[in-house]
Amino acid sequence: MPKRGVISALLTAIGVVLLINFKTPSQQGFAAFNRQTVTGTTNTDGTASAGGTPPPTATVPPTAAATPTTKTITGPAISYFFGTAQVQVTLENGKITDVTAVQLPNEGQSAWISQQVAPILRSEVLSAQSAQINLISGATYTSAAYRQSLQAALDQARA
Amino acid sequence: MAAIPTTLARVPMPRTWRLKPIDVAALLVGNGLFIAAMWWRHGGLDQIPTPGGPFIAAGQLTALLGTYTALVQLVLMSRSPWLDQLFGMHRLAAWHRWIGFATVWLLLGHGAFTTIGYAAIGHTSPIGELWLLLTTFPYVLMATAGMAMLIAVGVTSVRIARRKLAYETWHGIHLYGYLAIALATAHQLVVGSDFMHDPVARIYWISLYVAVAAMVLTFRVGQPIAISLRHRLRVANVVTEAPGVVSVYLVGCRLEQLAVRAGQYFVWRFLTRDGWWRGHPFSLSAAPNGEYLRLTIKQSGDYTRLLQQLRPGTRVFAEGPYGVLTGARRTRPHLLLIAGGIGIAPLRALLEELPVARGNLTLLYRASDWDDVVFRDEIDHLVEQRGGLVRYLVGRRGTREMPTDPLQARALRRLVPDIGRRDIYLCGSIQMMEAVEESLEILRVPPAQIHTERFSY
Repeated sequence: MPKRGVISALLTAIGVVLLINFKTPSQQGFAAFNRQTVTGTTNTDGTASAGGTPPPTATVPPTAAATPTTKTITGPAISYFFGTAQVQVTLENGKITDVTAVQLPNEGQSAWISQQVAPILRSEVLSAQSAQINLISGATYTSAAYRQSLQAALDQARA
Repeated sequence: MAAIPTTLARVPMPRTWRLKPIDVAALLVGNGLFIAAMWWRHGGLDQIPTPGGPFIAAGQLTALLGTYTALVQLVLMSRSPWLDQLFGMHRLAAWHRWIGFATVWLLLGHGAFTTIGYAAIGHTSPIGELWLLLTTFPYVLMATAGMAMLIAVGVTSVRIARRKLAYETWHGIHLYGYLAIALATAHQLVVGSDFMHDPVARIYWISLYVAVAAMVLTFRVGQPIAISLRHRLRVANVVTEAPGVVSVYLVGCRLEQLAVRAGQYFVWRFLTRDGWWRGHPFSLSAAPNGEYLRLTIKQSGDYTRLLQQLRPGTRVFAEGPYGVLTGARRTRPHLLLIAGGIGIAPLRALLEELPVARGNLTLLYRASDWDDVVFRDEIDHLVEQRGGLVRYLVGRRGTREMPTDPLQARALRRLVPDIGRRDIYLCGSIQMMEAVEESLEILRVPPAQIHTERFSY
């Protein structure tokens, strides 16, 4: 075999290894999420919306509006290809302190996807403090519907 | 002159299958329709009214069909004896060429449509969206690397590029097609909307891949290894037949059990330092006789020059047998064999094996120079033994001895007046074969009576 063949085979192998090791943020997100579920099995409640996430610090009970500055608003239910998405957002003095998915598709494969993406979307919202969040690959439609419901809720809260 | 066995030992016939071309067409088209229906059932059309929907829908459909045709490409070139028996490798290769270009365009369309569609959903520019797709969608970067490889395969196969490249370079780049298909798999299952949410679709898709991989591995890897282990072929002798033409004699174990017919070929791989990594097709130039296999090679490039220096004892891997230029295609009792140059090799084997009554066999052997005529003694001997007739049509066209092409329709009819009632076995250069096929069309020889094998790289 000519030298050229050996060199291109080697370069190809290196390239493939690099490609396999390339992880997108959402893949890292999934991995982090999976680790959390493993360590937190003692008190997971198993629901799709909040399953496995570590208890957020200082959450206000979502349904009880404790002080006038704390608002909890449920966004509209958004129907899309794979089901319905609806979120509930809690604001404290205009700051988003919590967001939960009231509804996400819960059939078969979609349920699994919902379970995977809900915590990622939640943490994105908490850090972005708005509905301007990235769509999650592999769940583009779910994240778009989630975003739409959230945007409507925020519009209502800040109106 | 090589000894011609006076009685042919019967070797087993290669297995045949009761498949019809329509069966293969139905399977291929059926799966294509099934895939389109799957997309439709998953709401492919319903997305069209949404923002970016038409592009996303087009992106999905081109992805599914492009991937499917890519798998069909592997099947066509899997060297499956079923397909070879039905269509012959040269026809499969011609289809592979056009389906290949279609595949590259479909998959390029998938990339472009999907980027534009997602840009519309996310309100970003297509360039920004492309960056987002590559960096945030799992395995999309991997698939894009595969796409680049497929483009390279396509570009190097465009006729102009192909002519300028050495066969080995072109073939080496072509092998990246396998890698490209493998690299694209992960993103289909993880972000492909048809497979993310439908486990049945996922199982179907994976089983398509498994079936194709099984075919490729069986016929391209398993079968040559099996033949090699069973028959342990090695070079016994290399004999010069004419300037630049050698015959390679192969011996091995249990050759009387190797199922092959005269007129067929194997893809040979000579296990030398410089030969093990490349396989080339050569016809048997003597009917299989259970004692040895003979192939005859004309020097036409670097590789064939190397083969002239093969040493006895060299181990040989053989993939095959392939080829439809055999007695299996026989329809008539009368025979006409037409050879051009080194195309005599398979016809020389057929001359020995095809059953025919005395007086019903004619061989036309076209060559541009007497130096190019090989097997003269063997041919004369066989023709005499079988009660046939041979005409050597030697000379360059346009010279005084040969003012016109001796294989023109009119000349052919003069040479073989009952040509329309014969089975015609034809082998030679592509140009020569095309010219003869044209003559046969003019002479209204039914296509079912014309049997050919093309070797071209």
